[in-house]
Amino acid sequence: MSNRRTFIKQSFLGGVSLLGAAALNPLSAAILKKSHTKVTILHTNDVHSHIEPFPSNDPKYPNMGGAAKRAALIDQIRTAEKNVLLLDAGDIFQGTPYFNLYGGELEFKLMSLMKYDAATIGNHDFDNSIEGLNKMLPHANFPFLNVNYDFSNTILNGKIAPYKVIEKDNVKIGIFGVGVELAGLVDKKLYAETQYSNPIIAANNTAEHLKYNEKCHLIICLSHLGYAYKSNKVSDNVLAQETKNIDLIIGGHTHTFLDKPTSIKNKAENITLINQVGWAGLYLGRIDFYINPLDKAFTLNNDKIGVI
Amino acid sequence: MQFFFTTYQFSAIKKVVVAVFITLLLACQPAVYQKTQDSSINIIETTTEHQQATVLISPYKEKLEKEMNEVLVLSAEEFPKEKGKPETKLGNLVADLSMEIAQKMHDGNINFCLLNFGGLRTSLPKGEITRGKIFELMPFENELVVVSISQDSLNSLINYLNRVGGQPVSGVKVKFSQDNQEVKYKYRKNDKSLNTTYEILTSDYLANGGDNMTFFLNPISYEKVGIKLRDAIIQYCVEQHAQGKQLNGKIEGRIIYE
Repeated sequence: MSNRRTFIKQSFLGGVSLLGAAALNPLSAAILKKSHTKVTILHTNDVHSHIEPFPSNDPKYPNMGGAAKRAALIDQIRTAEKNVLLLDAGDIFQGTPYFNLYGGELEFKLMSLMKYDAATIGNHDFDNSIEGLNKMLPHANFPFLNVNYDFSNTILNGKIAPYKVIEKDNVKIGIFGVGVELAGLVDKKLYAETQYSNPIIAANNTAEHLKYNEKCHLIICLSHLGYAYKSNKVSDNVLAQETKNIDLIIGGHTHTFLDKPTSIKNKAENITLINQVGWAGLYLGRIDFYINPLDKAFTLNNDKIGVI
Repeated sequence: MQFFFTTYQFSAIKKVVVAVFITLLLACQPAVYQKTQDSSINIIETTTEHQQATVLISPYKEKLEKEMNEVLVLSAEEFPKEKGKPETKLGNLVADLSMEIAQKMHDGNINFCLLNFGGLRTSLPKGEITRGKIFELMPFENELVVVSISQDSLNSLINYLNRVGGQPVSGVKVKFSQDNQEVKYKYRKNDKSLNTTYEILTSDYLANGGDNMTFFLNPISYEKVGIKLRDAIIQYCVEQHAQGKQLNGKIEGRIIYE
């Protein structure tokens, strides 16, 4: 293991091997703990009203998922970690009779119980129309974030925030949301006068604002655009390449199971990470950032946790 | 086992460090998780249920199960969800019952019904058909609508059926041959000169161009029947059962390629 590690380190670091060697200094662990704030990001996407685990005879996911198990898992992590953020990338609704019968009430109540910090809106969250979504909002004690849907001429006017800034210890985390183009995907009568605009432009503007005006150390985009497409339709991969200042994109829509976050070189030649954990609450994504508020540098560790 | 960089070194090589961390820390074992060697299987976490969440779910679950487990009707045979066929028993069943129920509720004529295979989400088993099974078959909130379209749009519709290899229909038979197509109607005079508009029953999703049914866009008229497709299926099942009937399937050459 240590041989392999050395090999990777050398091949990655190449010319800066001196710094690489210094990284192995055991004293540095203590330094990092003192100088860095650890922030644990937990995330879900496309849970699609999967309140209960899959049945035991399910051919693909027997006994997996379920909100009560996810809640227990999150509680367990909150006990161990001081700075936890819990986020969702949309399509909370539609997929089981719980949605058909109760309209999303239980989904929002459970997410409130789990103390979600924010979510974005997916296309299926319009399935009971914009009025149906609006009616359920009082059951959610967390904000819905979006920067590329204009709701001015709809019942949701003023109810969807563009972004939220959360402070954990001395670190500021900026979170915003982007949504997929609704025309052709969702019935017009369901999304009504919601106006979609280019998510890249909106994301760039918001991320820049979060970085320079709000002075955020970590910037997270909740995206329901989809991981990647063969066509040139805008996806999380395109978004990462075409923007600056986003550290992490938590994606959804395409139900993509990533084993680890994808690293993309963004427009500022920095790394933007993309992560997505399939659908139905089968997994809980976890990424730990170690952030130094003085120089804004961070490191990370990541897990994909099966809810079994 | 963790790698830590001191601050000043770290900011200098930030990009590289992120990449290295992703590669190397996959093998780390945070205290509370057990991780398998195969990174594609990832971390396995056994959890118990959260007490408060279980209590919150419980009344919703009870009410839902009671409703969903209700047997609506018996089916004499299985209605499998099939792909790549111009006509299926399941498609015919749903298109026929939609036609039957809409004809009772809608004032004007309805010439035929067109739905889509993609909207029928599961097979119906032989035996007991529960309300929950109908929710699985039709999870969406689509409504039945009657759309009136022109002869040109009707031609596009027929071409579409040819192109996609069929969709569920009721009240119409279409035979496609090399360079011809023969269309026969059950609830309409088979004479083009009589009327140049066509009244078609479909779902609001399809009427709004879903599944590439663009021929429904800009219709001459558009009227709601006043019932969701799922509720129409449920109503039909209940009615059949009340009449002592079971669900029976049929294939009768509604869409044929020669």
